[in-house]
Amino acid sequence: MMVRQRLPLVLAVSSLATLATIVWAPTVGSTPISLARVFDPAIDWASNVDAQIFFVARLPRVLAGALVGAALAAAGVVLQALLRNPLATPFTLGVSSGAALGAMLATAFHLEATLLGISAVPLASFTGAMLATAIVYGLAASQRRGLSTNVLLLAGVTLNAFFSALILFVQYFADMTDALRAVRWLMGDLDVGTLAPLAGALPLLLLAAAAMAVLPRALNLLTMGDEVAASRGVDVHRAQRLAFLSASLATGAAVSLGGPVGFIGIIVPHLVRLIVGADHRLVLPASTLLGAAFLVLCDVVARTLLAPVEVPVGIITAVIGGPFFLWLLVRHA
Amino acid sequence: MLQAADVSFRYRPGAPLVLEGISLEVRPGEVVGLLGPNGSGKTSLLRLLSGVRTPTAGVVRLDGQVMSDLSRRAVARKVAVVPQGVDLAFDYTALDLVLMGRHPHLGLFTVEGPADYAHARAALAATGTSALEDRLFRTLSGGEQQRVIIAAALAQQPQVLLLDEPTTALDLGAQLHLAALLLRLNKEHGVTLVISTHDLHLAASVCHRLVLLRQGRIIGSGPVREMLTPGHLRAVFDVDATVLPNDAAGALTIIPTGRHAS
Repeated sequence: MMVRQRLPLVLAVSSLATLATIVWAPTVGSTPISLARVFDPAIDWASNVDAQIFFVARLPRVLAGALVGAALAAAGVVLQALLRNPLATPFTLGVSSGAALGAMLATAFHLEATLLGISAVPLASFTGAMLATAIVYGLAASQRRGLSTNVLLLAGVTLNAFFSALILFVQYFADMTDALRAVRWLMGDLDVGTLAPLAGALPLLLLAAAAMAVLPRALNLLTMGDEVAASRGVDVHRAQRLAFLSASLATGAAVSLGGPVGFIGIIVPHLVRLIVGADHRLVLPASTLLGAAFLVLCDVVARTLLAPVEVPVGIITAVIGGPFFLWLLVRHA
Repeated sequence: MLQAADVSFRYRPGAPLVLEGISLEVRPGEVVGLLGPNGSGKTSLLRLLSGVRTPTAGVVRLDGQVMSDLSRRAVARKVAVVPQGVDLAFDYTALDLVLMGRHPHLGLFTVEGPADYAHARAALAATGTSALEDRLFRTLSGGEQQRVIIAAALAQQPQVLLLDEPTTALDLGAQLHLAALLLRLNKEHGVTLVISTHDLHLAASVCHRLVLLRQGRIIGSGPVREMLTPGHLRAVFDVDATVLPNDAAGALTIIPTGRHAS
């Protein structure tokens, strides 16, 4: 079947799956609610407790999961193609450790600044993510021609280690409560409370999505190597810059919203490739949509597994993701 | 069609020149061989002729226009490259790969239509790889991969095909198969070919004209029979050789007899 025919099919199926997950997920929780009552126009808002629980108490968290999952899965796809390495993740290039350092500093120094209703920790973590992006980009782009993917990889891995050391350093001198709060942040937490943080992250994520939308066919060609891609008519330098910056922006915004939730960026793209093949015009949109559904599902598990205790969602994704990653390694070897 | 005028090239400032004072012209319908030992600058010259690299000095022109002024897409619609090998990071089928050759003909958000599939399938047919269309590229033999890569280049509908040491990784049968394919592409499809090689039999059986390269300079250029002489072979490869006309193969046979003591 031609890609032209497969694309609408893939989009329709992934959209439906994601939408169904997003509508279903808020019905799960300590207080059972009925979808029929939630959407019953005959009951007015003030007396519709089910609707209030659905929209006010649970939907922001579900939407946060959807945005974070979509962004990390999309960033994973883009970076795997850019680095020509199916084992790359959104966190490979140092973006998340920059974000973690920012969050750590904001926590340890009790920063109170807010911007457009967004509090200090997400602001600081996004700043850290962009700082890390700027450093890695500056190093890799200082080569005469375009971005060197080798330098990207080395700079990213080194920056990860360096920022981790700084995080430990700050943690060592922070008081116990702050250190604990920071560690809790590192486990990933989608409990955003209100829609305000989502509204803050959304424009950044839309910008990243717009940049990624022009990339898929170039990503296909980049997986054959820079020179082959160039000889097939790809503006390689432009495509590489766009890929790196859009993936970093998506990762930074996602991490500032939900913390560094691991493994989404590698599990989802690989599962999607098993189903739709390697064409990035199918893999990128399907991974974005199903990444949303996947993280929302993981968060449902996190909320219900040991209810009333909530397990941080990053632990759930890591428990699923760790063995999956090993399976991939063995399969590729 | 393709023209290099007094071109020199180094990969980085301060690095040694890998090409120096190269001037050559490729005319439509020609099969030009770039013959030289390893490290003589053949691959670098192809990179300049395909425009993926820009000369340090001098200028490369495509149909009279300066190559570096043209967009990658504009160049790719006329010039296609067959690299020495392709290392795919993901599992694409042969057809996927050949369809990627349509890239320079498609708009930003255009998805290949029936006409593009027709071009891709014609390219697979021209290279004798139609039966491999749904196979994963990774699972093909070296010779099959080579032909699929050529098909991907043909799907670009190029006027010129640049091939970088196309026979290096092939066994004897695949080499003959490739030589026949290249001749057919040139004669039946009118594709101009520039082939870098150190394979004397390929040069003798396929090329019209040879450009001899050594240490980044052109040391000879002319029709195959004038270039494949014991004297020239000694100058290029430091090898003593006997050159015999071979009527069975319709070309020259070159028998290396020993390394030339200089």
